Amino acid sequence: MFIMLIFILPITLNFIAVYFLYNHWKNKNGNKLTFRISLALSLISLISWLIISGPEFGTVYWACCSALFSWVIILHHRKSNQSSHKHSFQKRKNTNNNEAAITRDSLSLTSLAKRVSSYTKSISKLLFVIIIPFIFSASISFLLPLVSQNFSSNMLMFSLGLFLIIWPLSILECYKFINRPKRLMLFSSLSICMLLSVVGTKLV
Amino acid sequence: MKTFFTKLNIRQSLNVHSWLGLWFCGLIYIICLSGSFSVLFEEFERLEQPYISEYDYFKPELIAPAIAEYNLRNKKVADIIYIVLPTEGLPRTHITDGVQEWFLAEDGQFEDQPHTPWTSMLKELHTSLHLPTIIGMSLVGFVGVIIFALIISGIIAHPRIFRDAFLLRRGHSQRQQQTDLHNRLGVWGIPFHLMIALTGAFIGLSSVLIGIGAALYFDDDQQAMVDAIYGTDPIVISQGETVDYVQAFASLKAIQPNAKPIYLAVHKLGSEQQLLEIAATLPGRLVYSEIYRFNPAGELVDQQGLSNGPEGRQIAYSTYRLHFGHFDSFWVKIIYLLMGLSLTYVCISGTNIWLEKRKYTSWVNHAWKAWVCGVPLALVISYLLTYLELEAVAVFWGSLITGSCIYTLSKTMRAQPEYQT
Repeated sequence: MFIMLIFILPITLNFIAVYFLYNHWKNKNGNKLTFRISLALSLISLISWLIISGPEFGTVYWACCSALFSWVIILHHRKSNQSSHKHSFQKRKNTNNNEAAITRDSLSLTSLAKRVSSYTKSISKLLFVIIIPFIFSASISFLLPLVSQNFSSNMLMFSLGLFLIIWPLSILECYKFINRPKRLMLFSSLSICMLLSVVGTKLV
Repeated sequence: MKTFFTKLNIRQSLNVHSWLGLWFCGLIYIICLSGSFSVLFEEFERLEQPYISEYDYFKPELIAPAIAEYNLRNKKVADIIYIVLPTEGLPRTHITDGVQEWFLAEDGQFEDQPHTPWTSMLKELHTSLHLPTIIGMSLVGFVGVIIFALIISGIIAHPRIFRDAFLLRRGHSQRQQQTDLHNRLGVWGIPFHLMIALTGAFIGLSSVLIGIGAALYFDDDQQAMVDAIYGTDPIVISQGETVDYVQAFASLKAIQPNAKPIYLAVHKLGSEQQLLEIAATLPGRLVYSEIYRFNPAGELVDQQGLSNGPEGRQIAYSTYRLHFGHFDSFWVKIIYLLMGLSLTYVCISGTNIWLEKRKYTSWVNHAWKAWVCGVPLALVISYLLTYLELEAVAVFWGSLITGSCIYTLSKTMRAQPEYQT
């Protein structure tokens, strides 16, 4: 019972903080004071979570509770607005025509061949966008311990974490480069050079 | 409107967001949905075998006879024997060497062997998609990387995402409503979704990463790479004497009174290298456990340093509980379930937005609908049919693929005559 009661304080603070943020947003971002209050309350709720649950559990609870409360407020906001709007569905036009046109198209051999070729291109593009960034990020991250000759737990975890962050980011960049062939060439050559440097460092 | 990113950057991010999302939506959906339900795997295991004895304390005096009985049943001395102790989530004890496994009653008597086909199917679906373990786990880990990329590109692609943090419009088109819900669930869930993606990628890709690391730094010795991150076992020399489990538990209580033992492992029992490990959770810590090592007399040799060693080791060992949501109380599991379902919905709505944007319907719309409705349905069907002793994995994939194909084909075929008329 006491444990339940002790959680009420951060939960309430968390809710009020999100509610103040909502109020600020509702008033078309006008009042800066409510925004500052919401930030301050948010900070206080984080601190109270940290004090009550410890730094590890507290951070998780704070992030999750803020998300859950915001969804409750959003749904409430949606419900309260419901009466003021007429619910209207925009039906899609020409749905069947287009659908059938595609079905009919797919029956011809030429279009089938075209489609297969476009799928093949698409798959090779996907593989390219995944593999080149993999080489690039793996080279950067795994080179660090090799260069520093430090294979401690901290260094290894740092390089693994770095890899898991750089890989997705370079996937995004690689996709952007694909639309500019010259830059893409540069990116992929850089990746191969880095791979060679890792292998070279290892061999030396 | 002032934004941090250029218009070109925003447009490109939106393109890559939808391109990546569409490539992987099916996989992301099945992994997120099965992951959300897997949070409750302990509860499902209890549901599948409700008659197993439940209690919250297993007496250390009963450990030695249980191990002796286990070896007798197996007709050999196993290399490592684990006794998994009762916890709040799963108040049952079981003994295993990784091959054979039995539940133990409160008085140490052997009960049934674990038989939880549906829960095992659900867990394996989430961890490896029922593919060979390393391939499946790596694929799931890779999906974590893709989710991370999707979150980042989503943030860049929507410059008003934080400004419209509470916006949920009514009276607009269905696509607009889906977009609003997609963005609102997405933006508030960013910390949780990022954490799930990163920890999932780390857990899933661990075998690949360890393989690369071992090849580069430790002459292909994967165990050396694992030891460098998680720490090594101590060298204990004994005369093969009987292990004093009661004393070991007493020593643990004296050293760390707040530690809650979750399992013990006996290595090379009866040999010169025999070693007893007791893993225990610590209050307020996300580390899966701290492992305390004891000599046969029950005296502490050392601890692995998972909770007080290098920060890298602590982070590595904290990813598991952080990803599973198995810490503190049952309510954390409920929060994780809700947050996991929100990520699943973000995936569904994202694909729906793209389908609506096309302004025409093709087999892709039907296939996506079949997949979205089919996965939960197949999970229910496979659960019900396990009562008829049918293979859960086969039923799940059989019903999902057959159902999806029939639905997609029938819907696509039905659309054609309408055009002809």
